[in-house]
Amino acid sequence: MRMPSSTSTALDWTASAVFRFLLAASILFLILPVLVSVVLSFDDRQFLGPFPPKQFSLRWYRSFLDNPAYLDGLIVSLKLAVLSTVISTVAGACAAYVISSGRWRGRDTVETLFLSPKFVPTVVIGFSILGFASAIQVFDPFTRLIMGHVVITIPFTVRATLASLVGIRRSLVEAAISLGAPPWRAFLDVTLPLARTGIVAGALMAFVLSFDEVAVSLFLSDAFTQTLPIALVAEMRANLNLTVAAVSTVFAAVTILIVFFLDRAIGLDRVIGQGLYRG
Amino acid sequence: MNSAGLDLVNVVKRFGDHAAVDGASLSVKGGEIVALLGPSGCGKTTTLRLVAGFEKPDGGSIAIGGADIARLPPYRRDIGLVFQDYALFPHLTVAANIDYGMKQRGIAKAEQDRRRGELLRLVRLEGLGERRPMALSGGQQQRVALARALAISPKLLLLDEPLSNLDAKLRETLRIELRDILRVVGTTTLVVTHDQTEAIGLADRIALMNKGRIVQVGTAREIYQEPATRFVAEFIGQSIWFSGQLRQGTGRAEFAADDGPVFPLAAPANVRPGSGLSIRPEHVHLPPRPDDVIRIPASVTNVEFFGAELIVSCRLASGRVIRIPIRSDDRVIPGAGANVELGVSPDRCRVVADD
Amino acid sequence: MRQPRLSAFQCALLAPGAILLAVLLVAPIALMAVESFRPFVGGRVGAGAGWTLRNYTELIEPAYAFYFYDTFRIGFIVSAIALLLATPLAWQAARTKRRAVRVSIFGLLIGLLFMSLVARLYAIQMTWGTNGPLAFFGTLIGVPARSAGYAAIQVAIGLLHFVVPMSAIILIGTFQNISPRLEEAAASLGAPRWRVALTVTLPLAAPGLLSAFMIAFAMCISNFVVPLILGRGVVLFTTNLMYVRFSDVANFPSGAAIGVIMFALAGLVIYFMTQLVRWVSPEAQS
Repeated sequence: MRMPSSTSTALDWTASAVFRFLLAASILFLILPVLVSVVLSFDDRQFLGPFPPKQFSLRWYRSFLDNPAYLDGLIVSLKLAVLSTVISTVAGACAAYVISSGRWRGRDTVETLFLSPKFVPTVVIGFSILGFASAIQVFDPFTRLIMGHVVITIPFTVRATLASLVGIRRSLVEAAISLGAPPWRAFLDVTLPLARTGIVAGALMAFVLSFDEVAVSLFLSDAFTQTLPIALVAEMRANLNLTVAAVSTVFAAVTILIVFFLDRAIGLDRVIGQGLYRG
Repeated sequence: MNSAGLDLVNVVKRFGDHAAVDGASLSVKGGEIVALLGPSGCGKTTTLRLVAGFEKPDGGSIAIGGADIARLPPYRRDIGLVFQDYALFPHLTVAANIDYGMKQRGIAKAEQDRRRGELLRLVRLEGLGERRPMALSGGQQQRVALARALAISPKLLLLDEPLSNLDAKLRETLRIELRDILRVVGTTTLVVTHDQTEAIGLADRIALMNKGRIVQVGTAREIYQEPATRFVAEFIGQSIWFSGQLRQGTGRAEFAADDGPVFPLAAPANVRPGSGLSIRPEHVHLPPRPDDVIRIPASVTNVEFFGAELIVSCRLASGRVIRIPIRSDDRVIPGAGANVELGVSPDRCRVVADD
Repeated sequence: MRQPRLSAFQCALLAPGAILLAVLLVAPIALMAVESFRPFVGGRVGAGAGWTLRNYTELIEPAYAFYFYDTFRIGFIVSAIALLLATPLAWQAARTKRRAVRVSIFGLLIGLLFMSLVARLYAIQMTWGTNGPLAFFGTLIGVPARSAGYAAIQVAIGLLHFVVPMSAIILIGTFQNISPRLEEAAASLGAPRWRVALTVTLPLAAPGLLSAFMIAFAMCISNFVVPLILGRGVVLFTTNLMYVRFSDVANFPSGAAIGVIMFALAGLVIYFMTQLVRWVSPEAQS
C-alpha cells in the first residue's frame, strides 16, 4: 500500500466537496420552485407580492373553481387523456406484442415506426396533423386533439409494453399452446397477465403526457374547445395571478400520489431499472 | 394407457440454406421410452419442436398412432411437453398450472381435482398445490412441469433436456426418480438430451443423431458394442480409432492400419470405402491375454493413478500415443520408458464407416 | 437468417397501431413536406398553386437564421449544465447503499417527470421571476431580472428543470452498469478517489454521458412550451417561430418548411447520437 500524498488528499477533499455542492444544488434546483409555488398558492393577497406571503387563505383555489374556463378545460383534458390513453394503450400493447414475437421480415422498420413519434418534435406533429385534418375535412377540434394525442402517446405505451414482454420467455407461451390453448388463448392467459405491469405503466405515462400536452393541443384546439394546460398557458401569458399556483399545487399532490402508487405497485427501482424512460 | 407410437419418416427442416434436420427417420413403439441423443446443433431440439408442432417440416412425415399430424396445429396434437426451463406459469399456482391443459379440454372440475391429486401424489408434491412455482426448488419445479404435461393424458410425452437445469448431485437421484415415474405412467416418451448418462439411464432405446440424421437406433448395449459409425463409437464411450485399408489376408479379411499394426478380423466386415477400425480402450490389454492374437509393440510414456483404475499412455511405432485403462490390482505396471506389447482380440475389433 | 412472415392473428394485432400511425403521422408529415414547396398566398389559409423553394431560401436570411442559432446555442448550454447537475444525482442514486436515499431520488425524478410541465414552468416563473425569491440570482451574474436578457436565463432554467430529471434517469442506468468492483480495484491499486473517478468511472460512463447529452439537446431544441411561457416574447425557438408563422401570419407553407427542417434535424441528431455512441464504445455495436 502506498500512503496517499497530501495533494491527493486535498484533491479528494475538494472533489468530494464539489460533488456534494452539485448534488445539493441539483436537488434544491429541482424542488425549490415547486415549494415556492405551493406556498404562494395559499397567499391571501389579491395581487402578486414579494415572497413570502404574510397571510394565508384558500382564495385561489376558490377562484379556480369559480372560473368556468378552467373547469371546462379540465373536463376536455380528462376526456381527451382517457380516450387517447385507451386507444394508444390498446393499439400500442398489441403492436408491441407482435414486435417482440421473434424476428420477422420488416420488424425493425415497424418498431422504428412505432417509436418514431417520440423523436419528432411535437410542434411538427401538431402542425402537420392540422394541415392533414383540414385536407381530409376534419374540423372538429376534439377529433383533431385525439388524433394528435394518440400519435404522441403511442411510443410510450409500445415501449413500456415491450420492456415487460422481453422478460416473458417464449417457452411459457409454447407451454400453454402445447397444453391445448390456441395462440389467442395463450395470449390472454399467459402473455397479457405477465405484461400487465408494463402495460399499466405505459398507460399511466400516456395519460400524464396527454393531460399535460401543450404544443400539439395549441395547434389542434380552437377557442371553444380548450384543454386545461392551454387555458393555464393563456392565463399565465395574459396576467400573472395565483390561480395557476393553486392548480400547480393540486398537480404536485396528484403526482405524489402517482409516485406512491408506482412504488407500491411496481417499485420505483423497477420503474427506472426496467428502462421505461430511457431514450 | 392411450399411448400411441411415433413415426418419423425422412423428416427435413431447413433454416435458409442449412438443413437442421436432414432426412431423419425414427420409429418409437407405443409405451416405449426413446432418447434422442446427440451433440448440440445436431438437430435434436428441432426434431422435438417439429414433433410438438412449433416448426413446420419441409419434407417427410410425422405420425402419431399411424395418423399423420403434419396438418394439426400444436394445440391439437395431445402431446405433453416438458420444457428445458420447465416454463411454469409464474402467475399461477402449482395447481392452476397442472389444471391449465385440462381446462382447455373442458374437463369437469371434479375430474380435474381427482386427476390433479393423483398426479401430485405421483410426483410426490402433495400439499404444494397452492404454492407459486417460484417458491419451489428446481427439482420440484421439474416434477410440476411433468405433472402438468401428464395431466392432459397425452398420446406422447416429449422431454427437452429434462435434467440439464439441475446441479450435478441432484441429477443422479432425479434421473432415477424420473425413470420410475415414466415407467409407472407408461406413456410413449421421447427424451431429447446431449448427455449419454441421461439417455442410458432413462430410455429403453437410444436414437443417436448427428448432422440432422438419425445415425443409429438401439439399446445402450447394442450401440456400445456395435457402433454403426465412427461418430457413434466416439460419442458413446471411448474409442481408439485406426484408419487404414481392408484387404484379403491369409484365409480371412484383415485390416492394415496406417499406424502399422495389422488386425486380422473375426468376421467378414461390411466394408465401405472410408471405413476404419474402432477398438474400445478397455479391450486393449497390457500385458496381452492368451487369446489376444493381435500384438502391438509400444512404449510406455506415462502412468496416471485414478484409484480403481490406472491410465497407461502408450506410444505406438508410428509415434501416436493411445491411453488405455487398466484395473489397479497387484499386477506390476511397467513404468514410463518400458517397452511393452499390447494385446487385442480380433472379435473386439469393429470395422465401421468413417463419417 | 430465417425471417418468417407474420400470421393472420399477428397482422390483426399490428394493424390498428400501424394504420393509426400511417394516417396520423406518416401521411400528415408527407403532406406537410409537399406543402412546404407551395407558394404562400397572403390573406388565405392554405397554400397556392405551383411550386417554389422560397419557403426554404427565406430561412437562410439572417433574420430567420438567428432563431435557429438561438435555439441551438441555448440548447447546447442547457444540455451541458444539465449533465453537470444530473451526474451527482444519478451517481448518488446508483451507488448509495441506503435504500431510503435511492428511493427518494427515484421518487423525486419520476415525480418531476409525471408532474405537469406547465405547472413547473409556472413555479419557476414565481421563483426565479421578477418578484421571486431567487430573482437576485440574475443580478449576481450581471443580468438583472428586469433586463431583457434575463428572458434567456429564465428559458434556460425552465429547460434545465425539464431535462435534468430525464438525463439523471439515463445516467442512473449508465452508472448501475459500471461494476463498483472496478472502482474498488483501482482504489486497491493505490489510486485516490478523484483519480478513480477520472480514469475509471468517467471513461466507462462516456457513452452514457454522451447519449444523455444528445437526448437533452434534442429535447431542448424541439421544446415549445418553455420559450412560450418563459421567453417573454423575447426568446423564441424555431418551434415558436413555426407557431407564429401559422397563428399570426397564417403562412402555412413557411411553417411547413420549418417543420420539415426540424424533422430532418431531429433525425440528424438521433443519427449522430447512435454514431457517436458507437464510436466511443465499439463493443456496444453488437
